[in-house]
Amino acid sequence: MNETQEPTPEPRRTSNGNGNGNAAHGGNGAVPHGLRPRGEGGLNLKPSGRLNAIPTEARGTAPVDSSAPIENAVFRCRDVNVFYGAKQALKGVSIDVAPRQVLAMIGPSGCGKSTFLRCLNRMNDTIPGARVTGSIVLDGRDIYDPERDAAQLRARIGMVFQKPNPFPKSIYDNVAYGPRIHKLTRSRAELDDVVCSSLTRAGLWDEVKDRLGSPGTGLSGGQQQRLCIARTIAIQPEVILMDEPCSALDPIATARIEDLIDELREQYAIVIVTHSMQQAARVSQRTAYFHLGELIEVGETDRVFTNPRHRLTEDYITGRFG
Amino acid sequence: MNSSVVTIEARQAAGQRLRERVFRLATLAAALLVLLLLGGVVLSLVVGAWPALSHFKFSFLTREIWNPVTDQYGALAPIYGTLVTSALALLLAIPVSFGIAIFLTELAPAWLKRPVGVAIELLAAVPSIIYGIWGLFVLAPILQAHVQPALIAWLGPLPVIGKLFQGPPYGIGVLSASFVLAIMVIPFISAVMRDVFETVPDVLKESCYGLGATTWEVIWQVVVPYARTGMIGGVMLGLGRALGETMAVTFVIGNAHRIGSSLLAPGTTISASIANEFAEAVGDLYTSSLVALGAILFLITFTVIAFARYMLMRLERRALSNV
Ligand SMILES: Nc1ncnc2c1ncn2[C@@H]1O[C@H](COP(=O)(O)OP(=O)(O)OP(=O)(O)O)[C@@H](O)[C@H]1O
Ligand SMILES: [Mg+2]
Repeated sequence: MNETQEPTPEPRRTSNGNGNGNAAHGGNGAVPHGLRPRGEGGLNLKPSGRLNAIPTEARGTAPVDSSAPIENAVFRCRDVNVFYGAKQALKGVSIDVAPRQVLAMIGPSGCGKSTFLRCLNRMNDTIPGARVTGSIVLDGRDIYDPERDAAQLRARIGMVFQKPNPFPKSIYDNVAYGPRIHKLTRSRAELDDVVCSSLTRAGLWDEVKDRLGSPGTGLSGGQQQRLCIARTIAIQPEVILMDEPCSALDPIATARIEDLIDELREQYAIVIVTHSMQQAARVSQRTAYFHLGELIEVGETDRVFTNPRHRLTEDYITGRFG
Repeated sequence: MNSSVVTIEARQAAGQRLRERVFRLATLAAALLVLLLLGGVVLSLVVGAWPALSHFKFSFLTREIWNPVTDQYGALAPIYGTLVTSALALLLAIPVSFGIAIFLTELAPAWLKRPVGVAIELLAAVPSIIYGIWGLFVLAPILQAHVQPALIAWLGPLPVIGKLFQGPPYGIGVLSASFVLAIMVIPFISAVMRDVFETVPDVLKESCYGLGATTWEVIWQVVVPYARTGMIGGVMLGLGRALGETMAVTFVIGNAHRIGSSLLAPGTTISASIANEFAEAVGDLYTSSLVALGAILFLITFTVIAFARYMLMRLERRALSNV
């Protein structure tokens, strides 16, 4: 879709930047030389035929990290581990989240995608027994810094969930909820504006403008999900996290949400978890593949899908398991 | 398919049908038995109360007098005592139970949840006579020595509510009974509230947290509104228990058939009166008056329980429709 036509705001990193990345990183520099992913030029980005170009054996079995540190990254995550009680759900994940880009996270069920997503806005704090180590830096400071207030942080990081979950309130109050608790508006007129513009940008305004007072739970599933997106962008976050936002929706509603994601990308950094590889390919610029709690590979979406560097990634995207 | 198989199948089906019919009748009989028992209770209450009610008519409900010597009986004092002790007990118990329930569901670290939860269930299982003994020998002296003098000194001089805190600190009385009742119903109310709070879907709380709400905001704007009907149901169940509680109250209320304007004064409740006097009640009118008291209590608790069930039912229906 669009990502091949539109210029990406961030300079696209290919493996040329890779060596620097690993060196700067330290953590994943342990990849043996012989297993280093082969270099790759722009020409390799053809949509088909590349998967078998490199014999599987030549690809690494150790995690491949092509995520060179991204300049002006929104999030810098280094060696993030998450434990639920004694169980480790995430193992040494290091990844950067770029601004004005969609990062897709794919991987088999239970591999820790949601867990990672929920680290980014400290939602794991609400789970008893969950523990996070490592560092996740947002504008120069670790978000798990005890000095930092989780609520303030979450106000800057919107989240959209798998199941549409509007509050049992009116459509208007759903969208106005965030601005109200953060006192973002000074007058009712201003609040009206925020509600209107949020609903418009979520592509829902025309459908609900005549019934803003009716309950948000009375909308269709797809409308509810767009309402949740409107509710999220009403607080003007810098990042939007989405955990399988379309898995409860039909194809048409899904397409609308995907279009919406594409528009939102102009303003926000978006991290989306999806089980649909087509969706990842359609909406994202970068893709990260998780496996059993480890980040196996991350890179440009085109590159990951046409020329995965790790055997596990290849197996997953070719449908051999997962 | 040959015919002998068919007949075997048919016979099996007939046997099954018979078994099913017997089973259904048996369960129906059990269910009817419950209704029959309830009807029997109501009937015997009405029959037993009839002499008193027909003799005193409506004045039975409005008179404070309770004099076995002149055979004059009015239910106002015990009704007043029952309602006031229960209301006060709820006033004390609701905030505490709410705090316990919120703490257990939203704030407590995982390792603390179970022990505290089990402790609450154990508290609910303590026989009421133990609360009575404890109230009389431990709580009442403490109230008499420390709490009541302070209440008299601080609240006594106040204009309107000052009236409620007059007179000597007896230790036993309406206020003490309310304290004991509050302690007795806290486990019930907090257990129900905790269960209700646990029905609040995580996704709802998380979407609120996700918008940058504080725990405080999530509790007041998501958890409480969602759980409101269930919380009321829990309070009503606690109220039902407080209204009917006998032994513990009898120990600490003082058992005086009068309506003192002060909460520190002794009083009585319906169940305490019945328990105290039934053994020595001589004369038909005396006995009948006590039964009439019982009928009134039955009516009050029945209403309260019915209301509580209705509230819980509404909550359940909403929880189901949200799935
Ligand atoms: N609240 C929790 N308590 C204990 N373990 C958990 C909890 N949440 C997740 N886990 C475990 O952590 C691991 C990663 O879970 P996570 O939900 O992140 O997977 P996922 O990649 O999002 O899977 P899916 O694609 O099915 O959503 C799983 O093994 C899961 O069992
Ligand atoms: Mg998930």
